[in-house]
Amino acid sequence: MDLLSVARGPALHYALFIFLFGVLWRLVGVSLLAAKPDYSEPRRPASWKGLRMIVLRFWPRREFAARSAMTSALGYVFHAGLFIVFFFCLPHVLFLEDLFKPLFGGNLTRLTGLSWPYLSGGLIMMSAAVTVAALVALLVHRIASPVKRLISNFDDYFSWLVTTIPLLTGMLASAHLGAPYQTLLALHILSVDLLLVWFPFGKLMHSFTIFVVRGISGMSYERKGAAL
Amino acid sequence: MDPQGTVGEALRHQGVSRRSFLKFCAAMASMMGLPPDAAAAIAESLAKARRPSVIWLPFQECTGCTESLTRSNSPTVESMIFNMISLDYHETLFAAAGEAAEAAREKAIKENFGRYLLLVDGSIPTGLDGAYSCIGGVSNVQMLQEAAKGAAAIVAIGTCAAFGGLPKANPNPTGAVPVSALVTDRPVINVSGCPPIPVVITGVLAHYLTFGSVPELDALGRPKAFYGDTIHDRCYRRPFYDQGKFAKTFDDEGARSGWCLYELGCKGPVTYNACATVKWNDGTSFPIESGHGCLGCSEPDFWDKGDFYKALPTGTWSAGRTLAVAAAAGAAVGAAAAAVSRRRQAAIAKEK
Amino acid sequence: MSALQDIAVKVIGPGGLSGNVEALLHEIATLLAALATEGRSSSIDLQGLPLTPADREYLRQRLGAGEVRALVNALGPSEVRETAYRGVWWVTHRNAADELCAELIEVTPVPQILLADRQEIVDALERLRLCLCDGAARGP
Repeated sequence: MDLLSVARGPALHYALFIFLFGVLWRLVGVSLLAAKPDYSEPRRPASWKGLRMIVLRFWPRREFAARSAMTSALGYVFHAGLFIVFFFCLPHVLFLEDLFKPLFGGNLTRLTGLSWPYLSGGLIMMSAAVTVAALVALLVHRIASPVKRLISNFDDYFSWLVTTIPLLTGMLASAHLGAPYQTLLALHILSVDLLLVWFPFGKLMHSFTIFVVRGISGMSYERKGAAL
Repeated sequence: MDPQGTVGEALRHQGVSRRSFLKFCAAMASMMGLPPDAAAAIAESLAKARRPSVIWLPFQECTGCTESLTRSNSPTVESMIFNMISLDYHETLFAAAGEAAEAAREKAIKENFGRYLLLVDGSIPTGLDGAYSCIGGVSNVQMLQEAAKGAAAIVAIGTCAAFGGLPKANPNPTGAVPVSALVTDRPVINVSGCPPIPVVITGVLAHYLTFGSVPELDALGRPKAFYGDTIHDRCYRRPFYDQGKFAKTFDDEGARSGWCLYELGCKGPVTYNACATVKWNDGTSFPIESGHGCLGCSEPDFWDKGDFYKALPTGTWSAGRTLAVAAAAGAAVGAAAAAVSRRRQAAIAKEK
Repeated sequence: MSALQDIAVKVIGPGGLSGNVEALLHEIATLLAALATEGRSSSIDLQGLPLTPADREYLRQRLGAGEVRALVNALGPSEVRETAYRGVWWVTHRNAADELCAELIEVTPVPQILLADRQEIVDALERLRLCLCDGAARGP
């Protein structure tokens, strides 16, 4: 079997399996853990207001904003760019529609089932370029800042790598640059397979866990009467 | 049957005029992408070339490749190559049959040992010791191995001979293999396609006759002159692909406007062949121009590479069940881990 | 069930001039210069060039027509037309089904395909002599 068939076939199959298995393992495992009983008096009456923390923590607090605004902003640039590239590039749209066919139905003509519009190749390429630039800038900052460098571990750097490689290989494949198209496409899909396999076991899980964690922290702060 | 002198003499004896020959050389040069001045050089060396003995062995095939080549009864520019060679054995085209034909084959092999060109059509079944396909009691495996011993070069015509083709498709009940799996000590030229474009076949033969050597081959053994670009690279609908204009169904507005067929399953981006430039039926059209996506028929295992009508990025497997199992298994393991953790916490609390 | 002719087909042609004709004419001029000074014949394969249908029409107009127009019937029709520029010929080869095989601009005193081959002349002499013998034997 040639590289592309392996990448699109068994490799992707197993990678998706591991991804889904791992994500559900961690999410279900954590959410079913017993919470330690809190015997202290609640300072404020019980309410869902604590969940505001999910939204509030999307931007640093006033006191810290001056120092971390740049990093936060760059982070959002990267996330937005990745969102655009992943969800609005035509081959990805076709792939995802096919992937979700068991849930949403649909046939070969994209007239039924899940379907959403795509952006032109040029726009996607530009978004990808901006995303990679933001990623590189963030890495440089991480290495240059003494504090961040001190606390960075393998997880941080490896997660950065498995996120950047698919973007780079995707751009190369789209431009048909550097190797025969089949090879570029195979490398792109293999790099995505790597990302999927790593996802449940590193800090990439934040994509799911931030909402849970912020919610719990928020509720806890609310109960304690602390400012969110 | 001995080869009668040179190619030039053979054509003369068959009543093919010099002008027809020059026209053939001009067409060949144009089609092979050679500079037109090469036509004169081709004419000169081809006329002086010794007329090679050619043996055509048909194995596990549908005869489509032979059909592709022999479309007309009268000699045409394209089929003139067959006036130039001495076709010493071809089961379908032979007048003789049975033992007389087999005797002719054995004689041709013996008399031209080491010099003849072997053309193979169809895959070779290896299951049941090769019993799935026999000619005159001799299995294809045996016949190929015998014939390959004395061949100067071997041309595997069609995807079946080149890569296994349809017989090799899942689940391959006859154990079909391509020529290159059984012949490893001779140059094998893979002219793939289901069928290959007729002029591509004649172009390869013309190259061999003119230059006496195997043309430059790609990683899969296909002549780079015809299989160097993908369909996608030379497709006239490429501007629509680049602009994002795709047909969503057959015969919709986009399809009628001639838009790109990527969403309708076209395998053009990963298929190497000359269809987009040389086209079919002497330059009339090719599948995409006629409104149907490329099947990828010149690539190995194209029958198993996913639905012909599902776009290239879609998976070659059905995801539903696997993903459901993965999700369920993950949830189960997570729940089990949580249960273990809870029990331990309860035990610690009880100790306290 | 619609018939074939009921299916509307909208053809979006590439159209327009690409500017390649000017470059091609310059190349022809260079080749014609070589023919004039050194006597070297050459040709250009039009099928290998990126020319739109509009380009081809424009090229035909620019090159014009000369004094000679020859139709060769060899395994299909071939047409040899002299352009308005002596020494520049437009040669079109078609097969028996009238489909295009090759299209060339030949820069030469006379295209090869019009010449009679030496070996064929010898064969023809033999045949003619045979024909004359037969005629003589049969009497007046």
